[in-house]
Amino acid sequence: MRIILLLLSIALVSVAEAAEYAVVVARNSPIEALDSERLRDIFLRRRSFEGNIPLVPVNLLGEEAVRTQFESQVLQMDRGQINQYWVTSHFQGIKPPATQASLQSIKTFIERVDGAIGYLPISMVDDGLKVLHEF
Amino acid sequence: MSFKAKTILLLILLSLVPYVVTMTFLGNAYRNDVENRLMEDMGHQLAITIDRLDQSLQALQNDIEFIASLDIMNDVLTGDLDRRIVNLLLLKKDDLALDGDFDVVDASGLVVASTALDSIGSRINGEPFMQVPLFSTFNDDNIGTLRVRYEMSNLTRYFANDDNFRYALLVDGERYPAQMQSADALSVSGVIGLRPEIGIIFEQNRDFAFAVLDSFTRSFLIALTIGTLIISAIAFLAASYILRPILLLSSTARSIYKTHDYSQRVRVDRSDEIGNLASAFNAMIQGMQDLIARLKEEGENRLKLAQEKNRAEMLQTLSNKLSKYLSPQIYESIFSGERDVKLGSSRKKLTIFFSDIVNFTGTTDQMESEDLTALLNQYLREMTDIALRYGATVDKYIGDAIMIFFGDPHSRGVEEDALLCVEMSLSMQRRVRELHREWRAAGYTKPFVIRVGIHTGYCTVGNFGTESRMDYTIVGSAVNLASRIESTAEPGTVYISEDTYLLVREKFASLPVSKVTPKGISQPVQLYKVLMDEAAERVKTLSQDGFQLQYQPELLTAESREQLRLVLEKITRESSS
Repeated sequence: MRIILLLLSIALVSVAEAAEYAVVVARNSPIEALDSERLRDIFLRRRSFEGNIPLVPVNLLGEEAVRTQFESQVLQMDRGQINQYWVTSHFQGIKPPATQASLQSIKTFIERVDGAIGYLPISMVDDGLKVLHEF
Repeated sequence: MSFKAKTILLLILLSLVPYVVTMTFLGNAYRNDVENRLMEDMGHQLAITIDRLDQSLQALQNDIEFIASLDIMNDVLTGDLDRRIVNLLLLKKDDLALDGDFDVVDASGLVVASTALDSIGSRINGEPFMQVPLFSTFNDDNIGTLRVRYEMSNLTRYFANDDNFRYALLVDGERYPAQMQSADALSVSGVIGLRPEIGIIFEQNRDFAFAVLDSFTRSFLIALTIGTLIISAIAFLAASYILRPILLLSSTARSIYKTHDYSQRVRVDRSDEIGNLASAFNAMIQGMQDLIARLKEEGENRLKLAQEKNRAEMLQTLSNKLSKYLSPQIYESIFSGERDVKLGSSRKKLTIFFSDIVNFTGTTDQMESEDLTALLNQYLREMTDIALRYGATVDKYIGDAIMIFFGDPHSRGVEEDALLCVEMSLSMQRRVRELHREWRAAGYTKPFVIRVGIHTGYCTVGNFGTESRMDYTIVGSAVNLASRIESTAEPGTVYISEDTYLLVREKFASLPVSKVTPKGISQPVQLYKVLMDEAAERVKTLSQDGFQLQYQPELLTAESREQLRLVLEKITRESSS
């Protein structure tokens, strides 16, 4: 089982290397760039503001590849660790980020909600969005 | 109204009073009480229903508030691109079986999700029935509203309405369900606690509500009717039982009044007051019957007595009348029963008297008949009175003549009879002389002068004639002789036969007068004139054994004295020789 997981992670890393996804915000967002550390804090709700700007992270619902890759590469946690994290955080009054059921709705969410930050395939990034990080 | 009817009515009324009181109680007090209880009960039921509706509404409120709190509502921000809200709402609508729709409106008023799919993308105005605001889960911004379009059928479905029980909601004057309010219904109302603008009415059909009571009342009425009939029958029987003897008394009394049959009795076999009354009635009728019988008997006796008395009086009257035709002695002897009234006769020595009025026809020719009758009657009455005074038997009146005899039916002895007869005759003559004065005073110038003839001899005395008509009289030659003597007598004198003379010569001075020879008798009969009063006193009588000498000194002439001397000398000489 460990062998399989190991093999799988290797494979994923290899995909990430291709930089298919990007962390994006709305075009009009004052945020220009965020490093992995910052992204990790934001999506784990350890950080709610970037400067004076409230941040609204949004996850893709389910176990889509983009999310899995985001969690492994940006958050550097597998699903078990994440679940564990949110169970613990829940008792501290910290709720996980909002979710959307589709990539399209994530895109719309980011465009419409101030401070929204999410991840999308690079292919979906258009003029309305601003890429902060790729992975 | 008869007593019987009154009694029956009274008994029925007395019996009905409890029923009427009960019915009045049932009809008013109990009915009101029942109504109050029903209303109270309905109030409780209404409260329960309101509670249930409140719970339902509260549950809906809770549901939509829960839905509103879900992360998924963040999808409002994306216009529900993934239709997650719509799907949830549809599921919830199904789950709640909601009549109506859920709408999710974003902050701009645009419908982003709705169970009415047509509404998506449109705008909704107006106040929804229920709504909750939506807040983003990440920064609590108001991102829209979850609204509920709510039909009243969601509430009315809880109403199990039927003909008898009806709930209805009142919203803005509209009634749900839209049915007419019953005019005759018990009704309570209230408002829903969560939504005071929604009124609720609970009605109950009055007929149904009071069905049990009405049914009971009906049964009671039927029972009452039957009871009344039974009571009436019992009252009738009781009244009849009570009154029968009284009616019997009444009918018996009436029957007795009509038929006068006092033997009727009332038969009442009872020992109560009415029985006593009947006994008293019977006793009274018995008393009346006895009394009537006694009265009847008395009446009959009285009638008999009266009849007998009448008869006796009649007989008395008759006999009095008859007595006028009979000599009192005869009359008395007949009526005292001494003598049978039958044909028969006996021989007796009687002294017979005849008198008549001298020259009666000549005297009376010149008189008026009334005067004649009056005179004659007076004369006969006077004579008869004298005769009766002397105990004579007046045999008959023959015109102006009177026939009298002594010696039957009562005799004092032949001599005494003769004496009485002569004395009576002298009395008659004296009375006639007295009457002369009266008659003269009365204007009768020719008064009656009578002459009398008396004879004593054997006669046949008795009833002569037939059984149907008989006459008590005497017959015989003595009678004829007496009559002959009378007709021979001088007016105003009394002539007696020798037979009578021999009996009375001691007492009455008499002078021998003429001799008569009656028919059928060969020897002439010497008659004597009885001297009256002064004439008698003037007659001297010497009576010794062997002779009797009568003489009237003043009438003796010298010649008659010489004659007497010669006779006496001759008698003396002859007897001495």
